[in-house]
Amino acid sequence: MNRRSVVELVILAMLLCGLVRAEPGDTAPRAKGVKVSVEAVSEKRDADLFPPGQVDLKWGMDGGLLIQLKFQGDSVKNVSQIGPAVVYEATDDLNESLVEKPPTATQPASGTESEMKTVEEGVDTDEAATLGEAAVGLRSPARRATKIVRLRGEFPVMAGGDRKTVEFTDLPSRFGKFLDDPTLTQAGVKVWIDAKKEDGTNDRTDLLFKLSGNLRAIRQVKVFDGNTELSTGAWYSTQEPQPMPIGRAITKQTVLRLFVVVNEKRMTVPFEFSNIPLP
Amino acid sequence: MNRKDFLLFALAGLLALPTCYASKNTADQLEPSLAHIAEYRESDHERGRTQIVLTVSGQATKRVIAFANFRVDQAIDDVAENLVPSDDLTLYTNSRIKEAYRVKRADGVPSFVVRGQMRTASRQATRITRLVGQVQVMTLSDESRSVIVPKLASFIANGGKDANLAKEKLKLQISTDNDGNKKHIYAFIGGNPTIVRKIQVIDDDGKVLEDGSFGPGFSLNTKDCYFALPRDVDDKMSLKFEVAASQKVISVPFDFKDIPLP
Repeated sequence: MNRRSVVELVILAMLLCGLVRAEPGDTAPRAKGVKVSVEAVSEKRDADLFPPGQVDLKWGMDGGLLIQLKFQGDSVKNVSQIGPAVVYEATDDLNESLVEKPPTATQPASGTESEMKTVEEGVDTDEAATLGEAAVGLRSPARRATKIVRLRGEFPVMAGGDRKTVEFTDLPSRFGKFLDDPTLTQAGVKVWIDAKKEDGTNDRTDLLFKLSGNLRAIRQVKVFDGNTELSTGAWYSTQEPQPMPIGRAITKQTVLRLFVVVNEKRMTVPFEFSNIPLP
Repeated sequence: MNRKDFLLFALAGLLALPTCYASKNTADQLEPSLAHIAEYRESDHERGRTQIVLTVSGQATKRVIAFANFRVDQAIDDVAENLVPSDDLTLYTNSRIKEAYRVKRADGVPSFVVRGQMRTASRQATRITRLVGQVQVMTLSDESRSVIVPKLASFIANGGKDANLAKEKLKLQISTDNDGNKKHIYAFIGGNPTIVRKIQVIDDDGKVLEDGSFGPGFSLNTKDCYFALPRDVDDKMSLKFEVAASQKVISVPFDFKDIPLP
């Protein structure tokens, strides 16, 4: 036996022992220092008692097990999107696997862009969110099972980066143009503004926005007159101009404040639990 | 048991399947069968809940319009736990009057669906050994009778009060369009609206001027109806109600044995 064969044998033995895991994980970096906890476990078990085709009825959601997770940590601050979890291992106390759809080498472990769920940011807070919730779907365990002895996987998030405030004054001079600002450029988002009259008024009281590029970069939009907040809002997709009613004429003194996150990254949050009781 | 006996036994079991969860009790040819069972278990609720879905079948279901008071009197699993639901589990879902949701069985027998709740069996249980209860259904007779409310304009002006309607336990709120258009009439029927099959506006000579169209907001407590008349409303017009000649509430008992848990 030559040296290469010995190395191959050792790797094979380690794979068999579980010391090296051949998993098609997300290539995104893992989020560090994130605490993940199980918030709730729910299960639907159901059965049709008629022979198939006897009654044509749809009975709603399919059966299965759902584990609600909560995660928290500085590295996932500003979290804007959470993807579907991928489960590498889920075994009950009857030694049955509960993994619904095992990841394959050709399929990404975690969600594609379209599968990511956007986290709605509260319009009344300027604070960067450092916690979020994710859900893990599993196959229903056997009725006799009492706990999940091991659950291990990961889910992708779009998070991190720096939250910056960008302020614009003299808005009427910017109507019909893209806002020019290095932070917006750095965030990869273009913002075009204009204003229109509300029906039956002579003043232009509605700000119009059109965004393109990295739409998630803009988390909040606020409009002030001096220190008085006139309006607040948030957009995640604005291909067409979106009106933002201000309630009074937009003048040179009107201030537009955009809350922007730059350098957001895709990362994965790993999770691992033992002995989760079944409901 | 040899292989042939086993196959015969299995075949007999399969043939019996369509009826094995059908209760033997019937009332007015209404046959309840257990169609579906779903357990909802949650870690933050001690017992979760179990939904049981019955189909009630038979030609008589054509006259059924609603059901209420789904009641489980006895429910026990094979580890001897009592699954009869507490009042707080059933108060909302089981006591309201609900419209009978109709389904088609593969054999064409008319049926409707009844949903009820009970407690969830433990994970150690594998079968519900006995499930006994009843549901009340409301039926309308095939026969109808007419109730005529004369002088429609005056009837609207005096707030929709009429002695003949009161006899049928019908309450009416009726008005013309808010913008003064006296060709458009809106009627909200309360009291016992389920007996109303049709409403028409007729002329002095009995000619139908307009069939009222029921709005999408049909419920068992109210029906709304709209008329677009060919001319402004006047006292030569009458409202003609076609109502079911009789209605009755009957109990449909059920008694199922040995139901496998999912």
